[in-house]
Amino acid sequence: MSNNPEKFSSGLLALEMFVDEPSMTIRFIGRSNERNPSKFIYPILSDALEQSATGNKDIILDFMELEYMNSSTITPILKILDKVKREGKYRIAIVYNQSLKWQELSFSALKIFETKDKKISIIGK
Amino acid sequence: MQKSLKLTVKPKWEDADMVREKSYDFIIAHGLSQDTAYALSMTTCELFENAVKYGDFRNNDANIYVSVEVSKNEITVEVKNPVREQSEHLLQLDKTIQWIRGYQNPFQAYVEKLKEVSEKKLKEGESGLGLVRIAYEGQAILDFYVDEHNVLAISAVYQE
Repeated sequence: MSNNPEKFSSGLLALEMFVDEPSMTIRFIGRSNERNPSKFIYPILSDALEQSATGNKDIILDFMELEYMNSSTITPILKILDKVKREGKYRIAIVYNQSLKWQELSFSALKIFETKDKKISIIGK
Repeated sequence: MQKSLKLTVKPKWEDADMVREKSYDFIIAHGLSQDTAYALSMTTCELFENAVKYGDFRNNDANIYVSVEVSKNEITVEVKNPVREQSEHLLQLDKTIQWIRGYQNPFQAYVEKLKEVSEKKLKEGESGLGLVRIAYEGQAILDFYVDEHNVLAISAVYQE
């Protein structure tokens, strides 16, 4: 993984973007409890998707270090999964910490969006 | 040890994290697991956020009242705030709680809402997921009433 991630932050949430040969990883770190987290998160994820398609890379959303998210934080993630499903030109994996019950409950529910062609994968670690 | 935590909080979004942390610490102090404390503090925080979003705070003295009460077999989170009479939010709240109750398993309601939100246009600050998340992740039964002073009380009861 590259050593110098591009960093973004809003309130108590930080996003770190690492670009590697096979993939781009966006790490969610801290707590997401803003009133409208979509405003911060969605443009970053949407741009990353476009970059991943241009560079022919997979994109990984890594939530292992996320401590808390309010329900509004789920919306931009859902919108990105919907975009991947509709446009078919991206591959995305969501990685979460399955030893944390809240992450297991929140993220395993996203398996309903998984696709057989692995364009969308939800992975508990 | 105190059986209940009671907080009186101004309707400021920035205080949501403080409300969550205090309820988490309170539940941990009662010897419950981190997973339970997490689920219940999430519940408290989601209800507090809803109160800030939909409460009627035209009176500057108006507050949000948060309580977490631990009894032998259940834990009750209750959040109270003033609302406008016959507000659209109350109708929506009633509809949402009835809709959640219509599912035998709150997981099914949650995934239905996920599908719905994924296909909807992004709307500022509103996911519509908060209450169904409380039912699913918080494993709580939701109810509400409005008293004669137009104070809305929403409760979420978690059974061990």
